[in-house]
Amino acid sequence: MDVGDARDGAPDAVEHVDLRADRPTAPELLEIIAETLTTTVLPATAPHAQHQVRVAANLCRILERELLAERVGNATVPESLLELDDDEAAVVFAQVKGLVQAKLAINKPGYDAHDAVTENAVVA
Amino acid sequence: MTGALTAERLSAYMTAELDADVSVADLAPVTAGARRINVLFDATINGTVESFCVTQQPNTGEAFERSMLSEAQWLRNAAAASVRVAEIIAASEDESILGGPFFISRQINGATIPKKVIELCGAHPGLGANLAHQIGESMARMHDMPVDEVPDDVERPTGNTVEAAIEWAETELADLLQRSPALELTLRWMIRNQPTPGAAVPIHGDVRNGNIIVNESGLGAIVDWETAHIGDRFEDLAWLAQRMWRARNDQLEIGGFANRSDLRAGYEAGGGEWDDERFHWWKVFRTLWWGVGMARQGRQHLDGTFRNIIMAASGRRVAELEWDALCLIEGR
Repeated sequence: MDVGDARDGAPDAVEHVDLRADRPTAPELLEIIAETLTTTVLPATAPHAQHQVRVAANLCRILERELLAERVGNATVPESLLELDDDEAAVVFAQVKGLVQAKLAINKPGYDAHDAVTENAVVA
Repeated sequence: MTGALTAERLSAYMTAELDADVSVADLAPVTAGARRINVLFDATINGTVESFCVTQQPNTGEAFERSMLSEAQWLRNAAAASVRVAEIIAASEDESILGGPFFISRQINGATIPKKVIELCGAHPGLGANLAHQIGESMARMHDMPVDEVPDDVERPTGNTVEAAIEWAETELADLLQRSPALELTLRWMIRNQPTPGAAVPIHGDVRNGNIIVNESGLGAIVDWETAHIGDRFEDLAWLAQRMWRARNDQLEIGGFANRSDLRAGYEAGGGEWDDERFHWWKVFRTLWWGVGMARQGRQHLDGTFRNIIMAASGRRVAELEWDALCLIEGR
């Protein structure tokens, strides 16, 4: 009997079990993977490979945040942005800015603390 | 490190090349560029100890964009123009010597890691401003080097630098694995705000916090001339102002250690002409350029060209550049 047959014959109740709720959950596992990489693996790693270990730990944290994040709604961005007039571009700009901020919340939290206002102040 | 790069071989080579009694002590490999090898060493030359660095391309059979001899020539030209660089002692493409093409330069002491550079500047009042001034001065001299002395393997672009940048961006954005509305809006802004194109001049292409050696007296040298080419001077200058090189010290635009006015003062002292509008436009372009670069790295991982966790992670860094680009065009 192969695995497919086993699934077909399973009782109804099993179909409603959310496998992603199994403890530790995926975010919980990613958290401990990142912690292990940082506290155990990194100090035992040769210098040339340490950066890769740090990056691996960081990617685990990115995935953890991604799994816990609210899905971003299907914001429809027009097909071609190059041809927009200024009013249209302003609307799309606000929308796109929100989209990028949502990505940063997963990939690099806090990066948007420095924004157009603070950058302009630095340049002035 | 390739097995052929040894103290014995270096001693023999330098003895012949310098026509002196040379003895090379222990080699100390340093982690630097991703694909090239930098090894520091001390050599006793006729009884005097001097410090050097050998830079080598591994003999991988891979095609490199720039030959070591060409890069050594850039460095010699730069030194002749009083740009602060490490002095080239010897260069060769003969793989029988050390196992791959290489050049040997004089070692310059100082910090190169961006965070260390910022710390050093923080600990010495005035050092950051002085550093930016010296970088500006060196870059003005570099941009003034005669184009006809640039090594032959460097492409001579014809036409308008601004139009070429826009064309590049159009092609690259259309070719991304995943569409980037933020970079498209950035390109839209670039098209509508084109500055006066500059003359095509010799530029380093990667002057930033990370490619400078810094000590208490300021700029030791501008290193890593791998990407030197002919282009717009503000393409070169604006790269220094990217948020990426500030190591979170965002209140100082230039590498996290100085203000733009310091760089400008040095550039003008070196004989260069400054234009804030052009600087800003090229800062926007370079941000888009690096966003595309990050996206490309992610793709190279996925398609197997360069499968590597750093390259994979780069794909997730595109949003940082998208944010930087939006910050630069917002309200302008």
